[in-house]
Amino acid sequence: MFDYIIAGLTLGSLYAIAASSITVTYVSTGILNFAFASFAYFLSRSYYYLHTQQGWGIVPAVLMVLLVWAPGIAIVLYFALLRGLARRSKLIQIVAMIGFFVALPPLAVICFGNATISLAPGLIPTPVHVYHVFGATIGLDQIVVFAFLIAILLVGTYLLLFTDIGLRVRGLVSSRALASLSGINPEAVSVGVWIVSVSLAGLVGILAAPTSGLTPQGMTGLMSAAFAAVVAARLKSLPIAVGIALLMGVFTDLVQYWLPSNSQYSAAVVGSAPFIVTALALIFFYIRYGAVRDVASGGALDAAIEPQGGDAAVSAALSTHAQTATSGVFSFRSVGTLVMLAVVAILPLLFNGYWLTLIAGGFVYGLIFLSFTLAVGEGGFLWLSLITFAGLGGVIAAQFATNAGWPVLLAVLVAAVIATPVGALLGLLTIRFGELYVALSTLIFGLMIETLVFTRERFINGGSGVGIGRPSWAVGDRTFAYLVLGIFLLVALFIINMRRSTTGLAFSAVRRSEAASSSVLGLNVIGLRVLIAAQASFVAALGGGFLAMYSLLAVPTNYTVFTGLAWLAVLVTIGARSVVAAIVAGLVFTLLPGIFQTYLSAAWGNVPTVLFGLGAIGLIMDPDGSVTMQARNLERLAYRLRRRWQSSPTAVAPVAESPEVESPDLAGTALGGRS
Amino acid sequence: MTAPAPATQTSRLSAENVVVRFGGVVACNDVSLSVPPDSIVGLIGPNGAGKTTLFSVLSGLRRPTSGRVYLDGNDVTKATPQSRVRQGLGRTFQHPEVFAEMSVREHLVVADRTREGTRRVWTDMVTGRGLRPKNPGEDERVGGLMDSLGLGGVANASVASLPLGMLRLVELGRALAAEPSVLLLDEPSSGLDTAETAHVVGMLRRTVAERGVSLLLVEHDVALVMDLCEYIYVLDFGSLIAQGKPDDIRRDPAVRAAYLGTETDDLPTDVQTLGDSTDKEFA
Repeated sequence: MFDYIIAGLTLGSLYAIAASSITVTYVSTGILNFAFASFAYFLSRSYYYLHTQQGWGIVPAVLMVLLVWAPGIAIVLYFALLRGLARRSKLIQIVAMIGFFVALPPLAVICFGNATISLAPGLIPTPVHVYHVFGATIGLDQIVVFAFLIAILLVGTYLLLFTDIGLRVRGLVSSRALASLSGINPEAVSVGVWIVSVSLAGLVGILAAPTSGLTPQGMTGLMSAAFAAVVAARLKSLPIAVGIALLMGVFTDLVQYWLPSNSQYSAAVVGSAPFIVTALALIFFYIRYGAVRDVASGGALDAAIEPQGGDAAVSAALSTHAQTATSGVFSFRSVGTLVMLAVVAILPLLFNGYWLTLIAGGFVYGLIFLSFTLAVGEGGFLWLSLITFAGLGGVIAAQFATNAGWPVLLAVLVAAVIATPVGALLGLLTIRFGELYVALSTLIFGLMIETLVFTRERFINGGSGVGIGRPSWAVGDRTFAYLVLGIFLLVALFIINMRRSTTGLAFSAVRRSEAASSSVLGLNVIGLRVLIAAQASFVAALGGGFLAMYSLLAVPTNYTVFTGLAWLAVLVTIGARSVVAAIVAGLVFTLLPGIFQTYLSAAWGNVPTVLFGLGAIGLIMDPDGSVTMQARNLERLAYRLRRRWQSSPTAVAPVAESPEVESPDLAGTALGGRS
Repeated sequence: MTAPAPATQTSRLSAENVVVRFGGVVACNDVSLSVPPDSIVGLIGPNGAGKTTLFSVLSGLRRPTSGRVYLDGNDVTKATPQSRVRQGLGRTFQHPEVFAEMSVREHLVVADRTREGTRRVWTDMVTGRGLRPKNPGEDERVGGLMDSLGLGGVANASVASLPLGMLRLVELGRALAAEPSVLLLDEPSSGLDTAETAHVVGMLRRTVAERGVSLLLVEHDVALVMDLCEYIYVLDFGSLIAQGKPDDIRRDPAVRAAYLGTETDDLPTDVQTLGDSTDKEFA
């Protein structure tokens, strides 16, 4: 048993280093490092490249990676991108960090090659020397992990409590604004914190790679536990984060001691541990505090100068007309939407073969992306597990259609209905929490379903998945494309109607002020939140069913959380609040890789994913997404032309029009505009 | 010191022996008050007296530790905020709680629609009402209210672009669009200049006269409260220290002590007889 505890403490130490790095970075800079796993992967892959592929020794390779590359990457990223991120809303911060998460792994493949890595090197040469203490076996590699954790905690505590640097960091944590006014340079402190954060990510990656595997998925699984510890620490308590991380590590290994190694429950309990910790923490917070928001640091002055409009939507309302529900049906935007959809609808008639298949796939992804439009655009919350609901829709539909012999469209519909209450429950659980908690807990939920459900033999079927056909009258790609487009239009029309109706106004009200919504308008805040969560889950599951039909196969590995983050990245690049942007994003998601594969060499295969990640990172500069930005520019142009025409001597009396309102302070807080 | 609150049967809104504790701190200590029909009642007190906490209890955002709240004679102590809204309670906030994505018109439209019942919130998404032409009756009601508040010129502007004075009017308009029988106003003149304050005061008087709405307002501007309110309650450290008509409150030694931080017997005579002109300053 002692062996298991030692092994658990080793794993827990890795979690703890990651959790402490994420926590310190968050309280010091206000940005949660969602990309920690990708930084870990990128740097451990760099280490593998230097040590294994280039033949460097362990010490020079690790020094090069952790003391040169990691700080270099941190400095470049900070001054190029992260510096601007601090002034953005929480949603933009999350999405931009997800951009890094998506872009870095394929960038590593581009930089270092796509060699299959069966055994990653650690910091200790193999064979690892083993010691026997009190009857237990401890490897030198385990001792090194413990030593790093202890050293990091001791040095970190000393620096924070007893040095001038620590004083500056603590001043910055208390109030960034007051620290600035006291002569502390927040940028110098922030860049220092990022250097430490990225270097620790590299260290965790190198230490974890031999056991977790040198893959993005292996690192992401590791981060799941670290994020659970960070949530339990309410994003700010370092001792709690470290303590919970260590306990989770020990628990993980003790479960394997208590349960038979081949027990299906062993994997289930281990896989769900991070989500159980997260769920327990959220329930505890709910009972103890009623609600937990994201503010981790800062005082009244910081709150006063913080960007307002923390959720998606503000700039759309500010930049032109705020009208939605009360505007006329045939507005400039609605006409623009119709024109765009008409252009999209013609595409299947213009192409054949390979390109037609990609267009049909684009429509399917567009349908799935509408679930993000609902969750982010209407609900104002960022769910990182919508792909999990798509996966549930796909695998359940395949069971009904193939194993039970149901008509495939009925199977897809029933699967979506089954997934809906799960989404409603998740929405209910996260209802009183800030955006970061929602993002983290849904991310962990997705990873749990991936481990617990998607690995079941019934669904995975020996790795090949379960086949699922298309309706007999829509077997061809062209007919299937129009079937999907029809479903897409139905859902899009539902969203547009809802947005323009009392329901949409109620969603907007709840997003902005729960207190006023309930005590002035008499709205049922919880009911509305759960409703939008259920709708988003239903649409995601429906789209997932169609994705399975599209590929004629329901394979759980098509619905990994990592892939879902790439979906999110491409959607927000185009625009997260527009139904047109959803289908454009779907087409970009399939056509861009198709173009690269057709016209460029295989070496370029990872470039589209990097571009999707960069697109999400680009929200730091342009929070609205490209389609929305172009639509808004056109709308402004039309507005100006109309005003010019109205002010001309020959024009009739001008019609009252909403003023064009600009607000630089708030314009950077949305994920996209409406259409 | 404190006379019993008027009977709940004759009140639009009343609180009886409300106690609110936060751990060891008593934010409201056995507070009772009443808002009769067609009246404007004031609630004043120094910072930290418990006024906003009491407002939260009255509007249902916070449960009292003990005590009762009645709305039109019905016990609503355990009722949710939305239930109280449906029974005729409205409110504004000390820091305007507006919906930053919405226009001024939309603030009033959503209140106008939910006034008829929140059912439309659930049915509109499936009945396709969002795709139909606008409702002329709704336009007329909302337009009229906006004009009476002086908001017609900014009807389609986003509230995020408006100054504080306008935001207070938007909050007032949103509350009135829901046609409440009792309206709680949390510092309606805070942050407004003299002209804006005068505009708000005029609007409040018209609201009571034309719409039959009873008002309970928390306000730091003592001169405004004395001028506007028919009856005033004074809180200090969570306890009700005085209540009565404005002249009685103006002369009440406990009120002066609460604001000046000393017993009135120790004060010079000229301070004890502070008139209207200095009320505002010590507030």
